[in-house]
Amino acid sequence: MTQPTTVASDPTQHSPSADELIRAMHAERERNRAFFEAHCDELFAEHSEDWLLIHSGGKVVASDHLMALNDQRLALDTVQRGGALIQGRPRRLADKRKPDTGGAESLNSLPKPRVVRSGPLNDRARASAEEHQRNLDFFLAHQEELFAKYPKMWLLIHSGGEVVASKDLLELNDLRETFDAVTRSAALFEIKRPWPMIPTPFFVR
Amino acid sequence: MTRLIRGGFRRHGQYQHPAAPLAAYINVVVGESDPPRSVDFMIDTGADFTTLAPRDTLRLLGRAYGNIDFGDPASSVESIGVGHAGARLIRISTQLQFADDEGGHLTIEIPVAVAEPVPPQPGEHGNWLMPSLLGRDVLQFFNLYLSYHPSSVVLEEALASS
Repeated sequence: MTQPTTVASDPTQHSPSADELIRAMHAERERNRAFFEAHCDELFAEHSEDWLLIHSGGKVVASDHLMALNDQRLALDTVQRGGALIQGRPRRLADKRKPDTGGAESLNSLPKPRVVRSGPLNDRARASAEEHQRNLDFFLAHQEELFAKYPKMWLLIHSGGEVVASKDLLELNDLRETFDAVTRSAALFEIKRPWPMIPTPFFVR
Repeated sequence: MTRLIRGGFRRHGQYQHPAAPLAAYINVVVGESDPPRSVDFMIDTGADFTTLAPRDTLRLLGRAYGNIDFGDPASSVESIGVGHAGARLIRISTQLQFADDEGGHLTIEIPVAVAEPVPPQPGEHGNWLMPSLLGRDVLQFFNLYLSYHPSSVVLEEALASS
């Protein structure tokens, strides 16, 4: 049975290299945020219906497809990926001529679900799925002891049995962004739900 | 030949009701990044549409999740019954890729709902504890077989979609 091999209450202490990377990501994020705040109005004047990906201190990619834009973010190097911003149009810049449809416009304009293709899985997909299963198996086998040891903390589980615990999920996610691609994609976040005591249902007749 | 996609019953720590701790889950790849990013979806035949929970959305989008404006009435939708309460959602187009037990996959293009995090700060509270839900908009492409004894969770590709 694999045991947890790495546990830290502060993810920035995970390792010196991760610490440096996270600090560089924070600096990159601030640089991108400063650019966005300085150019927000003009950017959305040009891309009024788009999401914006801002990276490298001022490079902008616009798209109406949030997930595709995020795929581009994930393709950036570690520091840029973690420091990149994705921004939607602020409400103060929303088009006042458009009626409030209560979301109906959003629902009606979206495409209907459809099967688009099928075929063999590629090697990267298989590696990611195997890594995910290893992390999940580890978590399911050890969840009680992990939650007892780290109450009220988020657990980041990666590499089939490495555990990092923290109260700050956002910082934990920053750490995850520094991992290699397969490890990053397959890592899990877990936290115990504090269920109230509810009696087990029973039947009477 | 129809595809079989296998899931399993899990006793997940973050969403474990003491009266019914086991729930049926399927692992699904979301989006088209390389390598793929997968999410464990709880099968929910009561859900109108497939929903990404806050914890999984943060894992997919990173801090970009915090920049989504769920208050924009032109794009957000009010929903009930998400995480024991109402929630605002936006729907974003993406692809869900299901791995079958023969080494192949089936990909569905679909708008999935992303739930507003309530409260905004992550923690052991609100809908940060809820699982992502695989709703009827996806399940309609499959025949669903659930068995508790013996334990089995299977989605069979429906002939209508092949």
